[in-house]
Amino acid sequence: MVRLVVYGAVSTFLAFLVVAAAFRQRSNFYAACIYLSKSSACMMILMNMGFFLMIIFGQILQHIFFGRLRALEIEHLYERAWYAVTETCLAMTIFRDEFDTKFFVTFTTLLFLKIFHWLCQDRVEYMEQLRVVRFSFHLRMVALMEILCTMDFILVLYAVGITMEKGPNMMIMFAFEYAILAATILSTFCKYVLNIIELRREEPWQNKSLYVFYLELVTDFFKLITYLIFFASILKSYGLPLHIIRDVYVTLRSFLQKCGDLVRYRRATRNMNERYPNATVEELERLSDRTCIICREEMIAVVDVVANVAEAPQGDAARAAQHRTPQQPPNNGSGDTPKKLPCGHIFHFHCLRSWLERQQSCPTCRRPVLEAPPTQQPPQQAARPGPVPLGANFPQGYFANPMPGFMVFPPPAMQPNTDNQSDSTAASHTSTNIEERMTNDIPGLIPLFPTLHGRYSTGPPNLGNGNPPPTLDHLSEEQIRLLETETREALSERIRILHNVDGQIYNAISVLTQTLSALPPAPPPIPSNQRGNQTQTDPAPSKKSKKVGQGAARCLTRRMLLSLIYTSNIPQKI
Amino acid sequence: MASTALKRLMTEYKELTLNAPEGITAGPISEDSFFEWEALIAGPEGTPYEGGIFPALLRFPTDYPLSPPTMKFTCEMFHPNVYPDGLVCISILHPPGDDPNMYESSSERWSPVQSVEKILLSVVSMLAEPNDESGANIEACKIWRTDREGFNKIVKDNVKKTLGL
Repeated sequence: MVRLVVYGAVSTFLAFLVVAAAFRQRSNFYAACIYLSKSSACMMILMNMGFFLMIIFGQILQHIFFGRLRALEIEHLYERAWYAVTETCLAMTIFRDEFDTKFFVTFTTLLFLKIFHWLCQDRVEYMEQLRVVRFSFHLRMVALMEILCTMDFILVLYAVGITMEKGPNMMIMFAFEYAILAATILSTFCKYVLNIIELRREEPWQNKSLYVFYLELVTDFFKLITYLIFFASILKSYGLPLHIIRDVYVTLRSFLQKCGDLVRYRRATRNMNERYPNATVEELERLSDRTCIICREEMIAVVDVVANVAEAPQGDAARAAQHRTPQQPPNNGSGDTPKKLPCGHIFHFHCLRSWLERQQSCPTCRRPVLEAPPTQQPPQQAARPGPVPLGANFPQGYFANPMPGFMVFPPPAMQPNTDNQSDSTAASHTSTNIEERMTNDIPGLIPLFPTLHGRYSTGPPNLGNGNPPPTLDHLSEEQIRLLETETREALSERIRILHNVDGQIYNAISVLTQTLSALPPAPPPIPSNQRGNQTQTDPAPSKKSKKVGQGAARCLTRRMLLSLIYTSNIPQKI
Repeated sequence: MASTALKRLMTEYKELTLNAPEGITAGPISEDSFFEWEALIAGPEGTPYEGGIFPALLRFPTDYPLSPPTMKFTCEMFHPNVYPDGLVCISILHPPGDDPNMYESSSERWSPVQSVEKILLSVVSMLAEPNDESGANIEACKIWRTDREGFNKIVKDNVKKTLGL
């Protein structure tokens, strides 16, 4: 403020001095004016004075329309003004031939108007933060937006008129600048209207962000078109418009990004009700913290779903649920319905949707929502690749946690099946299908745990129809999800099976260890030894070949072990 | 009408006042707007920042918690990851998606899982262990790397200044 006063005082004093000198030296008013406009030093001082008056005028306007500026607004203002000024300096290089007082004045006006556009934008955004919006706020904003809009249109028409009249000159630039400003102010006005609608509503408006998104998309599109036309016209009549390249690039990128976002967002939310299952009561109870991490409010399962889950264990009810669940109407409460992502994390329906607008990944674990089609696998299992194929014999979901024992001694021959397994995690393959493939891949492979099948099929209450492990083919996504539910019986049955498997694996491991100890030591890698003896002068290659030989030996023992496993009757022993 | 952002900020404020972690306080500056908070961070023990109380301004966007807030120290802060104007540069305060610095994986960036409390705790640990690979204050980075004694001295002087000694 002090600086402004000093600046103002100096400017006024200088201007006064210059004018007084002119009138002293020249006899009449006309001559004095001629003198002032001919001397560039005088012009500079007078323009400086004009600049100061403009600042004062701007401050008065600011007090009328905005009152005190917030710190954030001032920060934004400086940031944007900096860009605007540097870009105009670049623009001047294009229009250097036309650089004169008029250009300077027009540019200052443009900057002046731009500042108010920015402030207006910030203020409209600030509206969302205010709890009570006073009448004076609306009055100020509407008046300001109206004035700015009118000014923009008048100036666009004026600039276009001049360009039409005189051919391409620097007014092209201003025409486009004002066109863009007009677009900005219109979009700001639309946002203002949206904000008002939101304020008037009793409950939070979930769809607002979507409308804002579309609005921004349209604005960006318009800006992009304007920039491109401008770019082309300048390129045609002047040369490469350096100052606008950044803007064009930024707008283009933001537009493309928004389009991409839109596509992904549409894909992720197209059928959210079906794509993401409602969280069940059990799932919610399992959570230590039942708040939705996005809004930090408690999630309550929808009762309708609870009924389905309760019936699910009785065989056909699951199928019935299939018909019921997708048809669940998106009723008023659906915004608060807890939804489960493929990775198992649970959020409110509307919180999830608003996040998916930004990012199509899980807020908690960042697993993309879209890449893998939804599976019923809990995250821990999917995260551990590899040595789970033993579990592939069983319908999925029965091994919520692959046992550490699996990791200790992965049966090597089953490695070819890991791709099957990953298939099955991606899209629920049938368990029998995998089993068949396993036996096909490795001739002579006897299913490792044959005894389990009988026990298994009678056990889990979810499957209840007494047949051997059912294929999941005829089950819909919804039903599979229901199968995964954690009722008490299902859980205890699972634990029992795991105990069984645990014992079997220990047996298998002990047998394998015995076999390993009984094996003769690896045959000495003869060729490498010989070569090593022959070529003493060159130790490096011999070392290498020795390594290769050892590797081959290890391979050999491994293969022998495998053949032992598959030809012996280990499974029967177990 | 209360927006999601407002509700969540209120919840967080309540939680922070009920059981605040040691060395951290934060709360809205005024009753009118819940979107600007002031935080006070005590310098972690065993670091040159020990004994200092550092005020910072947290600014929340209207779409919080979908977008991260910004955090700016309002005192003098000499630290490799704090811009000379006080703006804190840590990865969890950067929005996911477009990576301005091209080296952070999206897993370390903002997500609604984060909260004011977590941000402040991250800042405390940032004070304890600067990350000189992604410096915001290049000068501080340089001194921190080459002349630790000098760095400690500058920081201690700053601490004294913030305490008004």
